[in-house]
Amino acid sequence: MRVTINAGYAAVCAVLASLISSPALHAADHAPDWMQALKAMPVPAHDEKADAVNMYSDLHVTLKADGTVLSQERVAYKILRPDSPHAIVSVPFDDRQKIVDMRAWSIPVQGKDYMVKEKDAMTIGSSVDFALVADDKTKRLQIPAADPGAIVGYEVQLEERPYFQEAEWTFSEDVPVREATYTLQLPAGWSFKAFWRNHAAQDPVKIADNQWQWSVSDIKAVKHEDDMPPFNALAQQLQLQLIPAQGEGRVLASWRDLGNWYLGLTNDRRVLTPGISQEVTGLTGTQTTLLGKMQALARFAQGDIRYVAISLGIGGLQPHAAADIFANRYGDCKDKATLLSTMLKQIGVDSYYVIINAEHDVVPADALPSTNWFNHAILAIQLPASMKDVSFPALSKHPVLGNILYFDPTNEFIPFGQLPGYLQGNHAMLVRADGTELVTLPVQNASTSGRARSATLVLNDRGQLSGQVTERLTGYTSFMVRSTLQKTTLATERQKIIERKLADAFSAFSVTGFKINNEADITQPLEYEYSFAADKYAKSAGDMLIVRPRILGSEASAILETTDKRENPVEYVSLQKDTDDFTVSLPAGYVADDLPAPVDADYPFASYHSKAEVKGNTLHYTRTFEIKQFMVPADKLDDLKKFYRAIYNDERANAVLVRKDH
Amino acid sequence: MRNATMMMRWLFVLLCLNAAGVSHASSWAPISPDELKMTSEPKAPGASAIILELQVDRDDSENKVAFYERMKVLTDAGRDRANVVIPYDKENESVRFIEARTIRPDGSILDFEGKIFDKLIVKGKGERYQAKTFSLPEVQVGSIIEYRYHKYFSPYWLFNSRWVLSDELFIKHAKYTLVPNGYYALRWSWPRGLPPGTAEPLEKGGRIHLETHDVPAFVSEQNMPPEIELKYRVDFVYNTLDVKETVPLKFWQAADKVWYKNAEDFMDKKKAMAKVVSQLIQPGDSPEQKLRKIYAHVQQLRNLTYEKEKTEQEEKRDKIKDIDDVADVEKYGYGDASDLTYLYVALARAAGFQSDIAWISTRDQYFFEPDVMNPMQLTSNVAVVDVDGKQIYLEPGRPFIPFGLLPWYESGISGLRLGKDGGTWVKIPPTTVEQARINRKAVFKLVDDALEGVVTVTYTGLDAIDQRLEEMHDDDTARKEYMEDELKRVIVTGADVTMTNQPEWNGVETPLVVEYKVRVPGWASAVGKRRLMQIGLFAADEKHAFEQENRLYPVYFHCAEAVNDDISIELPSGWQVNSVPKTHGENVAITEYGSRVENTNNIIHIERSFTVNAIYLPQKYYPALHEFYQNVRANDEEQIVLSPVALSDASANKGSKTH
Repeated sequence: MRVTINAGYAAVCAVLASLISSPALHAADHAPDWMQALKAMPVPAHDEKADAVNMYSDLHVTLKADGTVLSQERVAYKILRPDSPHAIVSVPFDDRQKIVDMRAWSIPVQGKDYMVKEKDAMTIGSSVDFALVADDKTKRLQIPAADPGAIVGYEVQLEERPYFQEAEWTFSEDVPVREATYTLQLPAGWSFKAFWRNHAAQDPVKIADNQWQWSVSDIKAVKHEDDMPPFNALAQQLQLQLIPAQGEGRVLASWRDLGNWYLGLTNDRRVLTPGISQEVTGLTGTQTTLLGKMQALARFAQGDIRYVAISLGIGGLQPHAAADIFANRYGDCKDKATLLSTMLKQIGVDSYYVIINAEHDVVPADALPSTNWFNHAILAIQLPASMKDVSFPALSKHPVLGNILYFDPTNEFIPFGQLPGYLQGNHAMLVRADGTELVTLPVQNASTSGRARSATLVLNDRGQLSGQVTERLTGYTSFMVRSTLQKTTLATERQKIIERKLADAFSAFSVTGFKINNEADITQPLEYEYSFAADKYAKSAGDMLIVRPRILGSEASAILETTDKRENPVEYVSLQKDTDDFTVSLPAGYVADDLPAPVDADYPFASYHSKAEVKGNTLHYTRTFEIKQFMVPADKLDDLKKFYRAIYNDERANAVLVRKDH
Repeated sequence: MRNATMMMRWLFVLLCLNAAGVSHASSWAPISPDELKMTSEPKAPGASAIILELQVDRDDSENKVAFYERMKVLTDAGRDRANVVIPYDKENESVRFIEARTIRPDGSILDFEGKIFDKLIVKGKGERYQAKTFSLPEVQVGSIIEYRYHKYFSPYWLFNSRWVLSDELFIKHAKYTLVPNGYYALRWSWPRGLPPGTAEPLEKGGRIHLETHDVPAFVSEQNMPPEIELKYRVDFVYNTLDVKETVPLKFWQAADKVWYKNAEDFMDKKKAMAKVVSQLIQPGDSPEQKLRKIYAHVQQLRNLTYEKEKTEQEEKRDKIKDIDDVADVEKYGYGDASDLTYLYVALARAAGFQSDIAWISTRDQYFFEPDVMNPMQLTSNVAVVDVDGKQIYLEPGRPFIPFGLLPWYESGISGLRLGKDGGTWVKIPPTTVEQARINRKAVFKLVDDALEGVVTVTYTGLDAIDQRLEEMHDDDTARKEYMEDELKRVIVTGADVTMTNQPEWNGVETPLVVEYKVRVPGWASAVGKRRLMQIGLFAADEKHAFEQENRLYPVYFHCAEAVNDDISIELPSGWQVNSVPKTHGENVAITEYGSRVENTNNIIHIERSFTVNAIYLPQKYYPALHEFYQNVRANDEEQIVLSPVALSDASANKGSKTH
């Protein structure tokens, strides 16, 4: 879902403001004056790992009365480290965008300047892995001599014909930005409404009739860190809703307006055909309840319709017709939602498009209406009054629709009634003819996703541990494992999965049995049953046997064990609750001399409890691990580090057994 | 140089992805009832899909190839095979007559009538790669899908090709044909053998045929030889050299004559070389001193092969002159890796040594087979010098390589030493354990439950070369991050690691020494009154090594290598050692392991050594290797037991030694 005037980075030094509007007159390869002036400019604060700093950024956007948008962007970086990715100009474009001009320069540390133009660029098509066919492309221009100390910059002019008028300006980057400026020129009579993200609101300077300018400075880099929230959730951004003059352009003043536009795109897409009708009859004929019928149709959309994205032109936003999706047995997310909605309608169940972002925290609750926020489509299914007593984790109460159940047919492995973790709690556009709105999807209890592991094991006096383990995987955890299993193409490769798991726990082992249950039945937990024999599990030390009660599995993480100061929050894709329950029969004659202390670590974001005890001849270890919040804020990371260290210590802790007669 | 390599890879990929098939006008072969009702293939248990029929018909006389494939979808994952992507080089190739269809599980047929898209992959100056893409409709588990197309190459564009008989899917039946181009002689060979039950390729009526069946799916394994060496294949080589010989010995002798003349012409600058040598060596220098001085001189010249990739504009300004002979290399002060090796040989000769060029095939991409008679496989050169009746092999054309050492991929191979009488095949010995070594020395104190101290890692020989080459174009920040990650990678748990010195990145003859400040939190785990410490700290490389019980292919290491750890841990006062693990020694086939733990004056000393002695282990020895690694891991997990010193025996513990 990408329709925008331009998303770009802009910066400009106030001292240079007068230069920005000057026509670019460049001799030979000489870099333009706006870049030459940067040689004397101080470099913004940065850490030693920054590969570059943004020295100058300016974006001019002009909306013409005919709806065409012209954007002119000038950006310059000082290169600080070799192989900086900022020495490559990347301009994405599609069939509604035309690159009018593209040129770039380098002012090397020594020698003459360089200039390269669009003819020197490579054009890269969209990845087949992302969409089998799409008209998205990227023009990539490598700037020469981008060695440390060089200043590189570019100018790009882009003309586009957007589906509707809106604008956004993202001025954060992965490197510091010294100063950035954004200028908006609107036709006479037009106005705008501004929404600031992660930055204090500020008024623009009106620099001419219907021309406004915003400037920001000293913008901190959004550094890449593992398990961080999405860049778009952390970036500083200005979103502009453009309000046409009376009688001009499309008004998208509200979510309702946007919803109506989307309904216009989709209103002829959910037409029932005889083929679909026959399929619905076939799928639901044996079901005796409405719920059963809904589940059968949902499973069909999930499993029988392959995910294939063919996104050309408006096809990036508009679903294919249900008849085509059904005939092909393939489609993308909005296609799957469209077909399922059509089928549900036949059994008397209404459903609605829900346009959403498949990452947490990208869409703020107070976002202005825009399709730019979103990249995914699911369904909200209105449960009939006859089903008022049903309960599902993904159920939500709507003031007009009553009980609505959110469902994502694109995810093949999350059963009807649940949502994948990456959608839970997200803000999304619920599209209805009588009132599209931004809604919040339900957050499922942590216990709906996770791994329950139990084992009955025997330890002999030679230190060999053997026995059987059962793992029951639910929710998001089961989705991840089922996805992995689906990708394995041979039975022998599946054996390797279990061997890999056991190798994490044991130094020497053999798998004596392995079975997967319920792999195809996603309404049931995925079950692993395996048995093993692990030699030398218990270590002899003098007259002692040393045994680790936490037999297998790990919840610890070394993500914060680093000397670099972490800057971003830690984000989890899904809440989850894992449990372990292990029983180990000890060798005859041995008693516990020392046991690991129980652990009780409780934090608002997560908890961990473990306990090892010996009763008679049996060692019993239990633990629970629960993620309770999607995000751990940056100011709580010390607590998270302590939490993971407590788990790490518990996981490595041993019990000491001695013979009774010693 | 790199661009050219990339282009060749592209071409290679395209070649591998395509071949030839049946005439576009022909009808589809009938579907058998067995194919329709099939739900699994006993010879490929669990397979997501299998190839029922594959036909590749290539015609080099008409520059075209026809491809046909029929697949059976056996699981949901197999449905992805319905997305077809046919890449091609639009400047030199075209793809036409694409036809496809879906056969439903009930046998009904759905011809593909959808749109075939022509998708841009990448376009730049003088090159444009596209892909024909489409998705077959109604593909379900149980469906059969099939498609075919023709690919046409530009006229006069002829290149070597191969039939790769192994695929990631099991192949039930496949047929291949090739009509050779009549202009050049064609040789073909199957150096890795053919699938069981497959007859040798047969030439009949101007066409080479091969038919095969039940070809197992190819899977990747840890530490395996280059993939192409494990796949069944038939290589076709056009004889583009003006060499008519068909017997390998004579062929290479004839090839040598051509290359020898070229090499001698390039090196025939005796006066200029003598002048250079006179400034480099002294009359009293020993032979080795002379050779070393020449080596150092050549290696410090600008090596164009290893420079950072430049843009077209930078290359223009660089004004690199054409190199016509070794005197040019000396005069301009630069050359590519091959030019520098020629220069070395010429200078060595000028210093009075018998020295020649040897053309070799590196063993990182494939294993050279002289019998294939493919001169394109000899891609690199080294210098051979006779000293005191021995041959020494030198590689002055690669940075950071010390005198007398070769990169791993240029050792343990055969090479053709050029000579006026047809040359000789020489065997370049593999590198030894002494030539690739990592020593890790750690001095820690146990502070609460953490290890705190300094670690010094010394990379010697090939290991130093690897690190220096990896980081040769990076800055200090990147090098620091890289080396810190290298140490973190081998520590079995999370650790704070900070590099504290400035290693000698530009060294050649010297080891690379890296010093760190290290803290390993939680290394000593508390159990009641005791503390336990595992002995294997730098043991992460072995944690998952050869963990699979079964293996299909031989095991392949790049080079022999030794890794030695020497760790001391000073205990805090008030603690004593209860027990330490026994000394261990393990060895099997080509690997050795040893560990030894001592306690002296409350300082625990751990020695651990791990050695790989050779590079290749046949599959039949895998069970022993698997068991060896299991034992290594078990030994690494052995625990040192500590306990508080009771007041009464605190003094008695001093100076004790526990084994």
